[in-house]
Amino acid sequence: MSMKKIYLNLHKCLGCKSCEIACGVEHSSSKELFSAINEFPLPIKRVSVFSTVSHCIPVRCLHCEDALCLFACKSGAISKDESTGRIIIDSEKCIGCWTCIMVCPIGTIYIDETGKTAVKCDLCAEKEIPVCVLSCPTSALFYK
Amino acid sequence: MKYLIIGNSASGIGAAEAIREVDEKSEIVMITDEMKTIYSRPLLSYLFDGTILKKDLYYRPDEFYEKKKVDIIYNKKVNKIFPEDSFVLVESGEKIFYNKLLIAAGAIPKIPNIPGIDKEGVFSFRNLNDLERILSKIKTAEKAFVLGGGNIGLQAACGLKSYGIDTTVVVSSSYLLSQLADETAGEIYKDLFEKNGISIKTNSNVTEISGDKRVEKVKFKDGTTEDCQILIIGKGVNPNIEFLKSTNIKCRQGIEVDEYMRTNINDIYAAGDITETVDIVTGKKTINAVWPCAYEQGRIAGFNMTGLMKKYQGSIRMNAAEFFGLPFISIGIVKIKEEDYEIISNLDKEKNIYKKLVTKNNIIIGLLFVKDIDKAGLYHNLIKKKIDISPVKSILLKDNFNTGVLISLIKKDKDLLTEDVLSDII
Repeated sequence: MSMKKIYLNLHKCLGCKSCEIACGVEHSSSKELFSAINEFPLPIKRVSVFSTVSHCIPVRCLHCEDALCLFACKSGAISKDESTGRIIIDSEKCIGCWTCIMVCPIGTIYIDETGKTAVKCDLCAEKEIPVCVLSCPTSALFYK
Repeated sequence: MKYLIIGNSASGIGAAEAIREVDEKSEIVMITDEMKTIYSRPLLSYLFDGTILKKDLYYRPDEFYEKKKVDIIYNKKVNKIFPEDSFVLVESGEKIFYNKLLIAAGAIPKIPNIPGIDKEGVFSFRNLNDLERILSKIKTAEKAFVLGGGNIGLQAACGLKSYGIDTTVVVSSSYLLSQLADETAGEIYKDLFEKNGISIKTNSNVTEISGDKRVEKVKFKDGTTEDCQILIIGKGVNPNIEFLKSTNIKCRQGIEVDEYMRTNINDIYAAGDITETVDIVTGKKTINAVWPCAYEQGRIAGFNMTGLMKKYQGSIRMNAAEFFGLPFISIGIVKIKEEDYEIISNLDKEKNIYKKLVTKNNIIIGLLFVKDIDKAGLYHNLIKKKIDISPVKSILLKDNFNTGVLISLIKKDKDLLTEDVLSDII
């Protein structure tokens, strides 16, 4: 099983939020920064940079081994890709009951642009390397 | 090894999935009184009001039983368990033997003792069969009443309304959602329901149901009567323990289990809405009949049936729902009168935003959020871990309370210098 995950070198994160912008653009309909910021509703980024007492930490879904959102999902919209370990939300099946939001211990599941379904980091399903990692100017984020 | 699971809802499925993660070969038999494949009971209300189609009820793929090598027996009730000889007796007379048994037989609707309750047109709203029966009468109904202002009652009301039926919810308490919310939130939802054309009758109760064969009129506590063709009962559920009465399996309200989900009888486990577990917040044994707890309990029972020793951390009452586009999340204890509890709350009536946290000795024990629900999981984490919130009390409900603050609360500064900061705070 090739379970690739995003890791963080805490010393290198400057809190520039490049990952947030890249994530928002990647999950927009246009996938272009200048069009994305004019989209209505605005695309939802799935990573947020927060400050702790001493550091900056970009936070997104950890694709937990024992994913509480997966266990709590009432509609079968959340599933685990056994080969990659990715936890995925199928927006077609999501009914917006928000049970996953209620149980995610780090708050990385969001209500989508339309207010109808839950969204979260999909590790950029269509890309080999997630855009947050690609966009990080200090290589604080890496994917292995 | 032969595993037998009674029940094919959240906890039964959770157990089967867990068993197969560890044991690919042994036989698993699952028995249910349902007639259909795995479907999600909580989704029935979405089918009722037309949000989803029937095919969307199925939360596992069609080939689930085949893929997980589970022998499923539909439409059969277990009449009795014989622990000494390790078998269960099915209503059709056959015996099914087991090495490990999971009782995940769930709950059944509470039916109040009202004269005329057995009339045609009076329904509970628990399973697909109930919904199909309701739908078969829906075309011949103009006026419907729903008994109970909890989640199920309100969902049923929305379903009825979506068919254009004049619908009134009858609530015995003074406000809606009284088991999950407080008066402030209850009032917000009352206004919302009324704006959307559903009447709410509080401090009331149906005392008599009359009609020839089918319900025609309902009588209320205050002596008034009204026409009625459909009456849906949403007064909560009771654990389905009747068939255990002849065994020595220890029950209070529900089946008592230890932290490994074992009953007092060897090789018999229990999980889900039929089970009493320790509530993380109160420390007392109780039934938290909610989906996430049921699945998790089933999963832990399943692992332990294979010989692992996984501890269940305990349950928490938690509900998330949305009515007419207004979501809410409620966790733990949200109403309290005693003095040693503290309430931190803010309310924006215009926007229907309401946030309330209940704390005791600087530990959060309850949460009630209306509309602005996206950070609920963070507080849920603090509730479960019983983290002292005094360092951040002043910003607890402010915008600047976020995952960064959570990390700082849970982890010491020096601990942050590891690669996997986040997985440790879960």
